[in-house]
Amino acid sequence: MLATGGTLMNATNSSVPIRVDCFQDAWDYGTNLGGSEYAQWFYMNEYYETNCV
Amino acid sequence: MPTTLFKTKTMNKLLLIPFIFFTFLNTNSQNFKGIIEYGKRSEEKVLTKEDIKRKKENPEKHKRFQKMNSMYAEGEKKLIFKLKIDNNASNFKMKPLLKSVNSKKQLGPGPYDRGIYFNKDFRILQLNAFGELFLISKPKLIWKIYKENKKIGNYVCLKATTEISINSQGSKELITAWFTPKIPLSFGPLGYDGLPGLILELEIHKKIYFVKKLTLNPKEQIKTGMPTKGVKLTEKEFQKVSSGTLDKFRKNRGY
Repeated sequence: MLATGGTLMNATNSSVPIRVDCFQDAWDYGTNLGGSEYAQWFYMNEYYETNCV
Repeated sequence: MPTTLFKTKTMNKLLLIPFIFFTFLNTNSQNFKGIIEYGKRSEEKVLTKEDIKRKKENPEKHKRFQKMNSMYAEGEKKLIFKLKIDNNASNFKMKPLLKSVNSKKQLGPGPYDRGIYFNKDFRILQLNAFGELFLISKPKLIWKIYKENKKIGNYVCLKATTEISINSQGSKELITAWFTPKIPLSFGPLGYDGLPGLILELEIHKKIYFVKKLTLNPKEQIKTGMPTKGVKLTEKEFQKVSSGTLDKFRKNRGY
């Protein structure tokens, strides 16, 4: 159930299975940090790359 | 008549003093050049309501988030930013990071740290976001200056704040700058400008950019290149693009 690599953007557009709870974590981490929408996206993406792939 | 003449002469002298002083300052700032290095650190850790709630409900998840935060804090220590000022223009950008030995992703730079900021009588940011290069024009800043001061190195700095709109919903955030009127360069980190002196410290979104090295009027030539490539947008337009991308992602994932 783990993705083979890439970023959130790739994960969104691909059919590679990813760990759902990790994806949820990435989403929560990014949105909880707040700030601009771009900042939320940025932190979400970095969490995903660091912990979910 | 002689009395009146005397009065007029005195008044002229009095009027001339501030004029000369202003001209001196103005000329000085025009000739002033500088290369300033800044570091970055996180503000002292304070748990938000969300953090406290998560810690109680899901301690493992809280630990994972705290670990990420610590990794950022550690990575930030290695960051160096360079502000170059010449001819009333400035260029601010991060020094490239050394590649890590294990080729692991290095955390530290925040969402706007890899951008290139150029200021003159306008403010622009070149930013690579969502896999695309943008050239974002930023609005003029309106500052409030306070009597509150603190010493940074040898410089007494005054506090100033400005409110910025951070997202497409129009949420506001208060930014604090500490500037010194002793250095007549109205620039600072991340494209913050318009104060009557150089910004030595900037507090923004729980992060602090602080001066590490100050070189005024160096002999070397300073190049404050203006970035020109990228999709041209206003800050508001960029916020809309960001919001749209996040929304699309949210819908795709079913959140």
